[in-house]
Amino acid sequence: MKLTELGEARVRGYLYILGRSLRSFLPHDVALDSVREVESHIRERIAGEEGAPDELRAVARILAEVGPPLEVAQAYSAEAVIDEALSTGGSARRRAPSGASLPPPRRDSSPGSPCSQAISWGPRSFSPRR
Amino acid sequence: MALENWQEQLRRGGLDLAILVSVAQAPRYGLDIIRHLEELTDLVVTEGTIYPILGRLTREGFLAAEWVADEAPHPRKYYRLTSTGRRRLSQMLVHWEEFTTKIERLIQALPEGMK
Repeated sequence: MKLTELGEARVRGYLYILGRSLRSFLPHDVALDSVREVESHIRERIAGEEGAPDELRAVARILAEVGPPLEVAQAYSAEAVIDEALSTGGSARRRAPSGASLPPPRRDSSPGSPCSQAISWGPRSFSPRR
Repeated sequence: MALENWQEQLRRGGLDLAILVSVAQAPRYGLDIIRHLEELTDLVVTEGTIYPILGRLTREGFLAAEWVADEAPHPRKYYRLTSTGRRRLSQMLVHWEEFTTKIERLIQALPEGMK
């Protein structure tokens, strides 16, 4: 399906938000490559919609199935935290790969309890750069 | 913990293994992996969230990624299992088999009325 200007703008807008969010915590080249990969996914899904009666509805459905850009960015953020935990052996150095500080650990049990540190490695809370 | 949370954890736990299995026979690109998983499982809920996992498995050395530009109107990023990934997959399959056997044994030991 060849997109109209409006359909193309929806896709570009999605990728713009995703890219901006990813660049707030991933190295620039990694963020670019990630956006390129998601764009490839979206383009292929759109190409498979040949003959869809309502282009905008089809694009909206595809983008919804890919996931809201902030949710996708959060998933990248969560994996970055796993990377960091693996590279530090799960030590107490809580820093994002880009060097940005991570928020304080979530307290799923009372502070100071024996298990509070062990279970505090939740996904990094995410706030896109405005 | 809500049942949905437990299901989500279970799904996440199985996704790494499912992805490695998906590319074990031949290289696949992201959407192809998703379609393969959707065909046989319901592990992929949000399509876009599989890419960060592919990225991590690549950084961990289990997958190798390569862009292929001349196959479709848009470039595709293909993933293949590395030799490290193949070894890891074998280990994971053994552990998975042991794990499911143990859980199955526990369930089988339940009295009839509780199953």
